[in-house]
Amino acid sequence: MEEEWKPLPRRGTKKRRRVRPENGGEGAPCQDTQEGHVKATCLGESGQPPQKPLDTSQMQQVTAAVRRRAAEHRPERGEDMGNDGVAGEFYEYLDHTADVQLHAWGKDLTHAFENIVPCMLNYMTDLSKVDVDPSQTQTFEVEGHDLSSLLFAWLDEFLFRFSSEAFVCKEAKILEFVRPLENANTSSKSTGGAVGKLNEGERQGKYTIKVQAEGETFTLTKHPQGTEVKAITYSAMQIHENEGRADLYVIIDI
Amino acid sequence: MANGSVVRTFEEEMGFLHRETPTRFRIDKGCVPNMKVEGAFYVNTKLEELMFAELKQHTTAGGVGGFLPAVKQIANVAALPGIVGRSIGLPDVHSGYGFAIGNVAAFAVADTEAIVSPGGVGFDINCGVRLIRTNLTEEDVRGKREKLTQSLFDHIPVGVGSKGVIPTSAADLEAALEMGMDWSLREGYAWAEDNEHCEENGRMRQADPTKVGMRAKKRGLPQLGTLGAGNHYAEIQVVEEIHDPRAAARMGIDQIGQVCVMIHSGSRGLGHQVATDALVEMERAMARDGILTNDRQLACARIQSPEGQNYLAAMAAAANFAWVNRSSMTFLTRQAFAKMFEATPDDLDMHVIYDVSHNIAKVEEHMYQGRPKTLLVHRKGSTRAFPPNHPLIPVDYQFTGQPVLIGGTMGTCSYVLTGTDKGLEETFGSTCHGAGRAQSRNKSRKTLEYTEVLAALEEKGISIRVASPKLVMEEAPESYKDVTQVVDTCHEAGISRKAIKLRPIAVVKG
Repeated sequence: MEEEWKPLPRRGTKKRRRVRPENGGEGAPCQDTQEGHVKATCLGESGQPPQKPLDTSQMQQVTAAVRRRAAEHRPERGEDMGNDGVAGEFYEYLDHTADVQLHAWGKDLTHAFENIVPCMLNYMTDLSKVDVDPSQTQTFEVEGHDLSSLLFAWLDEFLFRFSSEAFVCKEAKILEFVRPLENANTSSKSTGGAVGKLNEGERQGKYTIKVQAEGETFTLTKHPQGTEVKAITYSAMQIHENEGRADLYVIIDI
Repeated sequence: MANGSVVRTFEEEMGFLHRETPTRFRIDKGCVPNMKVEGAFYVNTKLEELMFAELKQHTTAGGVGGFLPAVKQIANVAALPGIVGRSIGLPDVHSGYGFAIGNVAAFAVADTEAIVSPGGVGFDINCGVRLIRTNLTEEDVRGKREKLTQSLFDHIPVGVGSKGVIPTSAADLEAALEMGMDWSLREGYAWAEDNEHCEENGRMRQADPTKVGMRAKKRGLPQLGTLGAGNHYAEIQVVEEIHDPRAAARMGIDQIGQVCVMIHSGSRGLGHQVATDALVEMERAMARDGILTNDRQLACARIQSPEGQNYLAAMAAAANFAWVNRSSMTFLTRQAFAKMFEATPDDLDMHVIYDVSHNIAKVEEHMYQGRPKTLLVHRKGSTRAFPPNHPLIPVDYQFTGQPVLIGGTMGTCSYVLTGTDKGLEETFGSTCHGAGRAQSRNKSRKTLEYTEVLAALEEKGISIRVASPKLVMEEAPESYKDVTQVVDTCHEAGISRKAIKLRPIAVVKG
């Protein structure tokens, strides 16, 4: 079949014309009979959905949105965020080849949980540019079957609210932190990425947090864009709880 | 099953690695417990240094510490139930979540023990690369480069928190999840030829939108038609070298300096959430079915279990979302070019050359031990590379083999390769996907200067628009493995062939 190839390409020739409407959307009529095109352009018969032309209102919406973007958001080279993803007062960012490890701490677990929220969100935008709009304050509950899954669900909830409702939480105020049947062993506890290592007390119920989240809606005109967080991971997740200090380590996928 | 790591010295670890060919190493059984098959990885002399440095760091840390080296991760995958052939690491392999990034593993669908793992697909389901050609040359773009880059940046929503510009309702999203690029075609955002030049024709038919959770859909809706951040980009590139004129001609590339557009993006928040939800669900399935893995991150479920089937249906829907996403951005790119050059996208010959996915699991027929066998092939950070005459590649590429698009990093070259028969035999028809990270993001930020990176790009004649400047450092070429080394290794190993080399002239990033 080698001889089928000719050095002259059938494509890429300048200003090759084929009938297609202005917006480039509609299926082309079957007039280009060069091989490969026949099958592609004769739709409708092959069971593929018939194409509908892009109507003008659709086009107008897109054009308007593009114009809006162009007007609102034209950093020459990207404006400097001012924050370099460096440590806040109660959190820092640690090294990892492809991802980033969050480390937050506080005088107890409740405070550590509160601090890891700005730790994550500050990576996505500059929290110093975020204000608290009291009308947007949200109250919700998060639950898990052990501490690791609670921490996972906790961060996942804030990520979800950011990417679905564009809600940036500046401050998370924990109203209630419920741990079922506290075990006597309150010394250091590391779960080392394991979700399954449950002790007796934990097995009996759910961990829940009720939180009041304060912040505002993310807008490109006001808030600088940081790095996108794809997901929270259990990878090397650590929860250390000691007398007077609690530490959390979470790797986020970015 | 504790992490699978007995503490060994570096020399002891090296005892499990054997050079098979100049570009391939074998990982013997015993490297980690319960290995069902051997592992293998492809490297050349430059890249093997990085691999071994990572392993050495792990052994000196005494088995404790942040993450497992890629070698160990490949071996842990080889210990999963139902794996066939080998667990394969490609030249751009580096440590990832559960599976290494650049890891290929196939599981026999008929085997009731065989598993599917979201970690083998990655969080960004159907993250992939699309290449669009034009009939413009570098000469035509000269003088308009900055304006064109700005226009592309204005058209394509990039970065954290940006919203899609294409009007989409919740009902549209459902349809898009089910129909993939057929939806884009129906709505007028894609050309019929686009679907032809796309893996699976831009639509995975096993997709079931009802298996995609509400949270995933809510995350996905505002993000349809957005590029995202991180390593995702849209680049205007020019053809620098044509290695295989015959294959290039089939792709419509016929001259040095021809302008192309490369789009690298994925399924956005929707895919991330599908993966997250599945991992949580599979934790439960593993306990129920008594599935043992060496690493907790390798959460998985039997292919034939409800969890496995649910994941595959949801993953397919997320894959469809990614194709619609790339199609929407293709549409916007065509608009940007059409306005700039005052010609229709059709007159500019802006056809999709091909669209590959490099984070996906697919059911495929492969020859295994001399017989055809239905396998579920996980490709994480790996691109499908089918040879000439394979039934699953488009008519246009039947004689050349499937085009494989390898995106470089900001400011470095990209490549188009083609699939080979040897690749089909050795790696289940898979090859590398890009450069692969070599340096952590934090380290890049600390060691590199924002202005230096920009000056270096300027010097190379590359325009850049980026939403977040710290990304400039994180994504600087210095943070990645050399893509040319990676591609050359694939070429040398014969698992794919070089066809075209592309050089960026403009980068748009989150």
